[in-house]
Amino acid sequence: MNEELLKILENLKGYDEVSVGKNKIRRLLIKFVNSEVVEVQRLFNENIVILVRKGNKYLATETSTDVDIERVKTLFNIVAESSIVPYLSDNDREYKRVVESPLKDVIEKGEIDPILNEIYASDYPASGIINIVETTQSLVTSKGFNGYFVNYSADGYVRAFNGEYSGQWAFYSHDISPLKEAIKQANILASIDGKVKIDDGKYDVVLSPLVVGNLMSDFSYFSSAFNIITTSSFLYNVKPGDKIASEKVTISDVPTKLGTRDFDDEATFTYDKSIIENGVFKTLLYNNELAKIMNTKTTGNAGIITPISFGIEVKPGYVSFESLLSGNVIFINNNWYTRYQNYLEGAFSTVCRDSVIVYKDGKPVGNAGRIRISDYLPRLLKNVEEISKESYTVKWWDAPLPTIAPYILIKGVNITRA
Amino acid sequence: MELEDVIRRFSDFKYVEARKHNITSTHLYIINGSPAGVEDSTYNGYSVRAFKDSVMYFDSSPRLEDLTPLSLTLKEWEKGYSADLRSSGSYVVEEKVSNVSLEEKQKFFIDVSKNLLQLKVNSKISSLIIIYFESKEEKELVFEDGTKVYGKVPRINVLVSVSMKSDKASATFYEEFGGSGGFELVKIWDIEKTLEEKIKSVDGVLNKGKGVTSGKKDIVLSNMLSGIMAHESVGHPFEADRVLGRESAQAGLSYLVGKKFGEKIGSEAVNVIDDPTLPNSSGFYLIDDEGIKARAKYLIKEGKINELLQDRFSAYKFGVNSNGSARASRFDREPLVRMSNTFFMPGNYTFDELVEDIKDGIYMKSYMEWNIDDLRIGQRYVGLEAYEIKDGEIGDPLLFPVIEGTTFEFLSSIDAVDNTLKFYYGTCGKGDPEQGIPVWMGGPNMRLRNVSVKVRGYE
Repeated sequence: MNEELLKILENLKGYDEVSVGKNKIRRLLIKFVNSEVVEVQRLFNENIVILVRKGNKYLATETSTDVDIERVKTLFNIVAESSIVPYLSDNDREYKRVVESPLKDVIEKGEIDPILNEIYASDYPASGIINIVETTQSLVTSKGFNGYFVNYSADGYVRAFNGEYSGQWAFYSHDISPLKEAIKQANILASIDGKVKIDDGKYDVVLSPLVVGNLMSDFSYFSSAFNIITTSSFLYNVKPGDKIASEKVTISDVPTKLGTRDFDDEATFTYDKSIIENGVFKTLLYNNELAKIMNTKTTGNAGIITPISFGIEVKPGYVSFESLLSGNVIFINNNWYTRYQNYLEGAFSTVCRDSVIVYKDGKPVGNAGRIRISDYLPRLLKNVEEISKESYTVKWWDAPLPTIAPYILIKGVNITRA
Repeated sequence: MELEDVIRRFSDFKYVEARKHNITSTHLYIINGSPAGVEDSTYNGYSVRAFKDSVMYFDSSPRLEDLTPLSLTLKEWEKGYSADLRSSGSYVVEEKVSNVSLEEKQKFFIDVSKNLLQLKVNSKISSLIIIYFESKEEKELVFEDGTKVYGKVPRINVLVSVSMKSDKASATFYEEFGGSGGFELVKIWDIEKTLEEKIKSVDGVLNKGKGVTSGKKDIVLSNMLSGIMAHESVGHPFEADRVLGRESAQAGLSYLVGKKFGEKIGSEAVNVIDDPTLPNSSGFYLIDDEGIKARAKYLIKEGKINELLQDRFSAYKFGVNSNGSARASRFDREPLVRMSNTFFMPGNYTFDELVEDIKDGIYMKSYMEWNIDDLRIGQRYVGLEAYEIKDGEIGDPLLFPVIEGTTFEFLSSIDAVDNTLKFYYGTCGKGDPEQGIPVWMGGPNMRLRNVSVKVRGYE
């Protein structure tokens, strides 16, 4: 297994640690606009990633062509000692898992008619992307690890247009079955018409799973130990046990539940763990090197130098989505362009889009349009009032991390408009 | 196997472009004055894009032999392509300084970082990260009519991220430098001096910044602010494919939907150009990825809608010619309508003349948060280096004023622009799969009358 990589490893003697990885992605992508297909794309990528370390010097290289061993050796000789160096895990296991999936034929043979028929059948004109992806991750290390993992996923998003109104929905799955529901949700949301103007001020808002997905992609960035040591996160002075969110909030990194990764880039087996549990901070995301610096253990989230999340879950609650809309709230279907004024404070704004519905006494009174949430992420976490029992696994262009996301009611959110 | 063989393999299609696209790059990381690693990457591969009546198909792989047609029948959104004449040719950007070793570059940036960390300021510099990035992009294109294009562009980028904290407030900000060419660019940019000035200026804001009063005020936007406005509020909505809805599920549509050429959307002081031919720019090219000769485009002329950014497929739908705006970021990305170097044209005023008749206003020199809605109408700027203007003089620093309004309000309120023109580096995002491409954005200092200023209302 991984003979090609083992041969490269064999040619890189004389270092303290060496890893050779190969990331192969085969993807079939359908881009559609107004329920017509713009383009079918078949994208094949294959990169070999080499990491060599000796003492406090390291080099990481990535190539889509043949590996040039001499270039690796030459470059290594001229790099300086580094303040942070990666460490591979003491894992000498052989590991292989190959997921079988009918999605393989979709990629190889272009069997996309069932997908196209769903898109063509949308009530309102629909635009979006469908991605069918085969991911092969291989990794061998000088510590004896030899891993191979083949996985399939389907994700996509649909934006349905009803004149000037629109609705959007997304999914991430191991098959294409959620597409039908995504088209249905986008159409339902697009059908809510009428306008209402709201002024700048504080409002109770219900965030849809898409908005939660967008903010959780950012939250995973703030949870990376790298962004703590570089003081680029509002979690920089938080310690395990500190209460940093409403007790309703449990946020976890869930590579196993989502099936996204079996081992990380340092050959640590991945596992699911809470970052926040019932409002209490539990852990950052670590790789070996950041764990060593911060006197703890890796959480299996390497990323060389920078730990990353492989997928997030916001734990669902116990009440229905409908019940969240029962008072005076603004329901926000979707958002984009989240930008931070200050990473230390988590101060940001994000622009709402698609269906942004004002509810008065539980009844929809109109679409508020492209308002802006202008607030602090830590404050939103503390002001979570309720979380729905319904949740969806979503991923889309502006929420790129697969996220299991419910609807969330947050009190007193600062809203502005242009 | 050659690119021409791929063209033959796709001979059933009317339109075929085959591309070899190689990018090699090296990153150096310096964290708080210490080296934090080197990354070296080679991203080489091939693609083919082919179109016939019922199908648009794109295929990419590191291996040329993998590129093969799929049998597809679609309800196709693209209906045709403009009948423009392609240009065979080449363009190459030279590196004037190419003999600096990686060790020397690393030492240079360590020194810059250490010198900046030793600056005597009242705030604590809690983090200073420098990422140096050099790349070489090489493209070979062959089309179904035999046209051949070659382009080679080396680029340098430097990203500096700084976190600062005083007893009163904190700030995190980025400063980016970028252009096409060799290491000579780093000397031209004078990174250390630029950062020294900015750190001292932000220190002044954090320690002495006054609160902001809300209301209508006259604003002077700096070259940097006019650059972001040129790119985001004019460049993106002037992408023809966006107006047609091709990006409607991603970055959205455009405020130009339903508007006509010649329609006024700004004051007569507003002139916006996109020009890929600027030497040593980040967005430099001379022939686009559809084989069309590049040229400057006047997007807004004297406040009126003049021309959109077009590729051959959008041009067909608009019934015009392509103006050479198609670019792909790497081998596994389709060509899209892209900006290159987008800027407001300078005028005849001096900076002092912009300021001298403002009684109560704000000079916004840099920003820390910026975003816009998916029609490119409602936007918001949160100032970082910002100063009050009192009776025609630049005064005390201000703590984070917010400007939130619409593109039409802002473009109509510009009554004067000065005679300077500065460009700033940016990575422009578009498409799915995402394509980040290097661009410049720029402009003069601009005076806006009677703009709505807000206070961060949730503190």
